[in-house]
Amino acid sequence: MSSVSRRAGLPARIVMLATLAIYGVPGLFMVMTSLRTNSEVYAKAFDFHFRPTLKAYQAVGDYDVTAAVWSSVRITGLTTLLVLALGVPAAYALARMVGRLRSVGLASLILLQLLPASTLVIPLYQVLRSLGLLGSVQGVIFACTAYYLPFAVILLRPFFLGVPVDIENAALIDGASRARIFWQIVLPLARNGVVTVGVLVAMIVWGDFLFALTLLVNPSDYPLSTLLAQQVSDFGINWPRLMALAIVAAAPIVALFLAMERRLSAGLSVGGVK
Amino acid sequence: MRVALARRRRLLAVGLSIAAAGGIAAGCGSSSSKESSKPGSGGGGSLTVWHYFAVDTQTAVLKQQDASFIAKHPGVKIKLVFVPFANMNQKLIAAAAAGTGPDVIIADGAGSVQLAAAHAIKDMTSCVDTWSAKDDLLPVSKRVVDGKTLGVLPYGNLVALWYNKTILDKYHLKPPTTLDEMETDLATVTKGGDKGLLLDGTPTFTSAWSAQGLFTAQGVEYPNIDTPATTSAFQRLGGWASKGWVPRDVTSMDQPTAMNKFLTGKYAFTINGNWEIEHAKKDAKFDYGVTTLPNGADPGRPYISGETAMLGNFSKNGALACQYLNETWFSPAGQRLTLKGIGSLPMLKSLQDEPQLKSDPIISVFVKQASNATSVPPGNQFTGNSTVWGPAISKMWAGNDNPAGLAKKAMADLKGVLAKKE
Amino acid sequence: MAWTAAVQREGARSRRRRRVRLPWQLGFLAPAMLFLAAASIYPLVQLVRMSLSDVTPETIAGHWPFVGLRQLKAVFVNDQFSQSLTNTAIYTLVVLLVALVGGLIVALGLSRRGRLSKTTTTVMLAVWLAPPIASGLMWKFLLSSDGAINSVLGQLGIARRPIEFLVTGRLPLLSVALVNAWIVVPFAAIVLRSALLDVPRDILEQADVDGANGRQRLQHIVLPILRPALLVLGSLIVVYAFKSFDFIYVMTGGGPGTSSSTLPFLGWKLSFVAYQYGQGAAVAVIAMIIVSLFSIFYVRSVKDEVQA
Repeated sequence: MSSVSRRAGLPARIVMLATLAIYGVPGLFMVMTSLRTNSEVYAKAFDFHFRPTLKAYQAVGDYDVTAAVWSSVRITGLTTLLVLALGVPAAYALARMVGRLRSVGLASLILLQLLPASTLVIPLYQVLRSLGLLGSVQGVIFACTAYYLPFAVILLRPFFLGVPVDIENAALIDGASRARIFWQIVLPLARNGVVTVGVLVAMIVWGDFLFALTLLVNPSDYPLSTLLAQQVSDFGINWPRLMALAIVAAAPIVALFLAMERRLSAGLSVGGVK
Repeated sequence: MRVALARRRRLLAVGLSIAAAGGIAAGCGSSSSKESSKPGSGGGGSLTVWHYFAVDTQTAVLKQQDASFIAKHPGVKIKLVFVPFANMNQKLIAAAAAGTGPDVIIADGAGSVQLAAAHAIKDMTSCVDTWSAKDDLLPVSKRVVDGKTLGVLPYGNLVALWYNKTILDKYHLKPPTTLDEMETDLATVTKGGDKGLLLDGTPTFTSAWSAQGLFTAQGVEYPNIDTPATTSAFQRLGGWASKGWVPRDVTSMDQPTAMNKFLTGKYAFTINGNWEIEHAKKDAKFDYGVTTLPNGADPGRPYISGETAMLGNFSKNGALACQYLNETWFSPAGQRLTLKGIGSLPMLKSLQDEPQLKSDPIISVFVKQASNATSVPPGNQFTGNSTVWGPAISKMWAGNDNPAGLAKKAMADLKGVLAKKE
Repeated sequence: MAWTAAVQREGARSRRRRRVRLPWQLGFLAPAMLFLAAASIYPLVQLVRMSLSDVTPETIAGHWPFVGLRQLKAVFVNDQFSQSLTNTAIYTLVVLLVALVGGLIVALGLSRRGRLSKTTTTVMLAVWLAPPIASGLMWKFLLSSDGAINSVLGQLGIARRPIEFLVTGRLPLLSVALVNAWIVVPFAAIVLRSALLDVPRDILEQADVDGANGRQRLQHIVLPILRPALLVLGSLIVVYAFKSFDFIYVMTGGGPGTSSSTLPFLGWKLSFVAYQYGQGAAVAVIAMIIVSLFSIFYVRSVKDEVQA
């Protein structure tokens, strides 16, 4: 592995320390807040002299966290799978297209990405009702897939541009079908990219709450992100509980990221450059 | 409009001050005798209740109400669905457009005209007629628009002036009763290094709600704001912001945040609600009190509102939903639950003599304040509150613009909103 | 007969034409296209229809009365619209610039391997992954006049009076944009760092031998190599910032007054506060037209890509 700023010791160090402070201090603030009481937080926002309490986390336990985690896992997992199942072939096709059709395809993907989720809610309600998916987790998965598919295709396409066409042409001459070439040659080469985009989509869907909030009616189906939105009410914010829930909600996805980090950075390098 | 409001006020005052002797017992008795005669009371069925309660004291009351109903009707299942405040109307209207929705809604009733227009809720008139409390309800509790009862408030919420007694004592000040005294107090405490007044200044109807009493005291009667009084009120209150008596960042501070900051003990005043009584008891580490809103040439009159009980238009269990409201939120026992649990004022005439309403030094102030409170304006007038009046007040507190200019623009913009058909 | 022969020829030609195979790519595209047609295009069409109709709570469930361009006109004369449009442009620009420049600086800093680099990356990503509502609310809390940031600034003697981040002039808009950029920088940094790792070391070493300084290296070697990554990243950020709603909603509510309102926020407010669904949809449609102009730029830049 090469490195650009290998020799730039001091500036790099300063940048890293500054970054650590810019993200670490608010992060620390979140953790600290989750260990205090609400009135303490209002009395003094930043205070290192406090007696840590796990009350906020105990309060989080009052919610049906297992059900919420299960719902989050279902929504995130199935949405990610669907987005990849539909998006990967589409991205490959767009990477192998030239001319007007490609331009139209890409432009419409950008356009679809643009729809603000809140304006989509009303038409989506009608679509889901006609499909009989209203109020179900499947309906949320349907909506999330529709919403994040264009994003995924745009991110996935460069990974397929990185796969040399020559290999495919050689396989074509050998009489392989397009489907086989895709499955046996292209996909393994773009694997990192697929994993990368999959993880990114999973992260974003994990944090999404608007669709679940508006499309679900059964509270036991609510995912973690929606429980979090529940902390913000017209009658006040319980800071410690909000932060505790944010930490609980972020923990699984941070763990997923750390587990995937090596492949992710390798994958992103292909996607970014090509 | 003015006449109607005035009448309602008078009725409320009467309702709050007159105690119907024996009404409590009668209410209980009639409720339980009716219940057994109702069909399906012993049978099953399920109810879906949409609400936005997220504070522990509120959810506790909600659960107690449901438990009391289930105890009497063991076969019934009640499903509580939390929908955040900001998404409630959106979700109700989207659901109605798709032909579905909850049985009961306990939510902000200010959008009830729109909810009714979207067929999300139904006229409750015939339902209320079956209630044991039908003649006992304070008139202000009902949201009647064009002869239709769109919702009924199970309890009243309103604001009054909370003061930090510890700070006032330091300067030998008394809780203000007039705007002039209020200004003297604010000038004194801020000069001495303490902080002034907190209230909701967010750019929506809640800032209009919080500042309503400060405006009525100066003769501004929303929605009839096209008067010189509006301009001078904006100039006077805008001065409070520019003098630092009201911190400018109240523009991003909602009611609960204002209360939480007040409870740190650094501020002399907050205009805030009765729903914070329990919270204050728990968290305040200083002496505090509540007094009625300061008067000017006219009295300071807040809005009285609160969550509203509404019936879903697509309910499959309409009779049961109506029965649920009758036996829980609108029964004397249910009303006492909310009084005790969240400090909210009961809406039954017969309960206006409850000992707690008179003896509690804080609740009694809210009861007194309620006697001159007005109803929240319906329909377009409410929309104007959210989209024009509230944002204008928010800008006034920010102090970036000339107050007279803001007042003028608000007058013009409000006309456009009120002209729209509902 | 001549004409029958001509018809037969014509028929044969059209048969032949029909036999011309569709590009194979369509087969791969079809599932996604069909799905999007059902799940996204239909709502999009509904949105456009809504923007041309008088949709209120009363009519939303039934027939939408067609009013042509009246809603669009009503939006254009609304002075909140021009304000929101300007604000959206500023907001998008700030998020884009800060996220790209910040992302690049962080990426350059983090391209050195080591424990500090790994810790920084992990912390940054963990914070990035915290739900946006939580971080938005936290920043609002930190930025208030008696919040942590002002007390630090006061103690350091940088600001004698508290800075009203969420009140004065354009500060609220800029504060929210910076918080939004703060959320985007980690994503940008990770993408760019990975791209940087592919900059061949021998080229850089050659540049060193040739006596190139840091700026020259950045300008002539690193940036050209990063260009494609910057383009994809830039367009994603623009689209993201352009429709960003959460942070404004949570931090300022578009205020004070309407001073930090952006197009998505105005659209939401018209739909769900003023119950003018038609006008809300019109704002969304106008926003889409504006960004579709931007997407032409994106497609152009994609055209310049070297096909592998």
